[in-house]
Amino acid sequence: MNREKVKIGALRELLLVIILIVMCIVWTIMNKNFATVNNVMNILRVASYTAIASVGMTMIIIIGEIDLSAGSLVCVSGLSAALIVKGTNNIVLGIIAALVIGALVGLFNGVVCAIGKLPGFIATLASMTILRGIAYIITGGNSVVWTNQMFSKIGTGYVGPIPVPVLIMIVVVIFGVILTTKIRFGRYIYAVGGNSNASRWSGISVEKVKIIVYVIMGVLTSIAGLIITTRLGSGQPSAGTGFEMDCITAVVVGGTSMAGGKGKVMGTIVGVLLIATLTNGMTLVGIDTYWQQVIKGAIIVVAVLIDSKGKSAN
Amino acid sequence: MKKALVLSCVAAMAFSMTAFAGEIEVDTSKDYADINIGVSFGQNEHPYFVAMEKGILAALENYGLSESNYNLLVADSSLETQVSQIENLITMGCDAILLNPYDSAGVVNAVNEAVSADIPVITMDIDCEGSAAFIASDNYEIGSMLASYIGDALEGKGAIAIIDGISVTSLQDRTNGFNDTMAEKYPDIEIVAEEYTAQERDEALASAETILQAHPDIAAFVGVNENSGMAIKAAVAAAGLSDSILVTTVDATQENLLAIKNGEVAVGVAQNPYLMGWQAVELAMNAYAGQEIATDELYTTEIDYMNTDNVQEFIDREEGYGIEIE
Repeated sequence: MNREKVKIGALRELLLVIILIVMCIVWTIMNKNFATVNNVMNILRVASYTAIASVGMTMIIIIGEIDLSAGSLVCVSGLSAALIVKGTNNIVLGIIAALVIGALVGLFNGVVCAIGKLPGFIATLASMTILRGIAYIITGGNSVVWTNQMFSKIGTGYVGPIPVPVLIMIVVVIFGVILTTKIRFGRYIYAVGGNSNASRWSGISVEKVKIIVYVIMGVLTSIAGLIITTRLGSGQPSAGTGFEMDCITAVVVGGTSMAGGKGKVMGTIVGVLLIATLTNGMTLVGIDTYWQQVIKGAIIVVAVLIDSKGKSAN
Repeated sequence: MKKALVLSCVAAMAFSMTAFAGEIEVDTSKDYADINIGVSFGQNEHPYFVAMEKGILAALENYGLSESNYNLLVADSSLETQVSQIENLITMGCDAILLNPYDSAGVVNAVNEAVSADIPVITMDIDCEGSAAFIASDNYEIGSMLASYIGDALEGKGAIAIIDGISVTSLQDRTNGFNDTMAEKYPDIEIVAEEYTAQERDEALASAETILQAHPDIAAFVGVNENSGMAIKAAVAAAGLSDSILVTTVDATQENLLAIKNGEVAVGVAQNPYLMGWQAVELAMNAYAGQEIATDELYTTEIDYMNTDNVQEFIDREEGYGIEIE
């Protein structure tokens, strides 16, 4: 019985990878520039920041919650770093500030959700609104421009042929996989999402697990915020609008159940790559921008349909 | 004959308005101390609107009025919010409403409500039905100016790409102005890629990077607003193509001005949102004083090319407005 389940789960991931490969073949035939090292790095760079925050979002959704504040946090963490680098020219201070803000926002979300017993949807809806307001307050609606070129390297630099954001993504993904599959805390995450009452009786502190997962999400989101801001070249009070939806989409396409308790970090990463490759290929072959949105939506439905079929087979 | 004379006078006045923008006459002998001007911005995320607000405040101060004479509401890119804000301004009993509609069609009912309460609505940058006056740049002309610049710089031939948009009238007009002028005057220039992602900078950046993968050999890459221009600048620089690709942008914002000064962007077209805000206040004061403001009049504010030669003038202009540039 258990073996059967594993097989179907693996089959599902395999299906996503097959869709991804077929898509790559189609784009390669249609445009000679698709299968170049440059373009692959380009895709990975666009995917990197969504992937980083989506590792956290996967865990959030596995514990049966949601985080709507990711887009606003991307903005505020990036802006804070930009303001500090602009004012003090100290990159390390800027990065630390962004990460601390991420952790604090995560802590706030986690405490309101776990201790205050509000649904994560409401808790993070509130922080989403608060943070967006703060973004406008601290910038007065203006963009924040810095002069330190080293700071920009976080989003635009390379190590050899590999963009810096892609390296950061690889580290974060390894961290996410180890956390969810190799250590005991990972099992707690699944237990809380699967049945939080049962896990409470079995001695797991549900509150603690939820808070820790939200803090992880906050820190990962602020890393994404640093990359997005330095990539854009200026801090924008409107940055990251709708970013949380990109993450949730990737998580769902990657096979994590919105009901909680089930899902994989690697599945999410395949989901992110699938969407990034789709957008890149459609732009390369010159598909109209608005048709791109229609096609993207259709692909999401197809991917999730496959998911639900896989589950009912269980 | 008399009619023709009147018409030509009106035309001359309209022309002078265009030529000497900012010179709307205000009867300063009247008392404006109790005027209450309501302002509603559709968006609040752009330096453009920051400059417009500064213009409004500066005009108020210029005429001896204070912040208590105006109420600024910002709709945060939500049509519903803006509609209810306009309704609130009507209830408050404003003497005039300065409006930057988030959606031209969506605010019509609220605007009509204001009109039936005898409150003149003066639109800024984006027009809507029912407005008493409309102050804006000629966005079609902005697109056309970008096309002329590129066409001449490339001597009428070559491949180019563009990131534009059709979701709001201002972007739509620029897009049309650009494409029409290109097709008419420079038929041998081929637009090899076009993406409608100019409204959001991160989307514009992703589009620009991908377009450069497909077409690294283009001679010019056109941005029609700050977001697209700055996204293209970043993508072109990252691809190491800054020497071979001409980049364009629109608006005299801090980022644009610095990019032009540093030679990363070849040309930009400057609008003057500060002046739009200023003039809107003057029109509101005229309406308050009982002067007729011609219905449906378009007051255009100046638009100019910015390039490395004259960029300092624009930096000085904006800094003179109290906007931090350097």
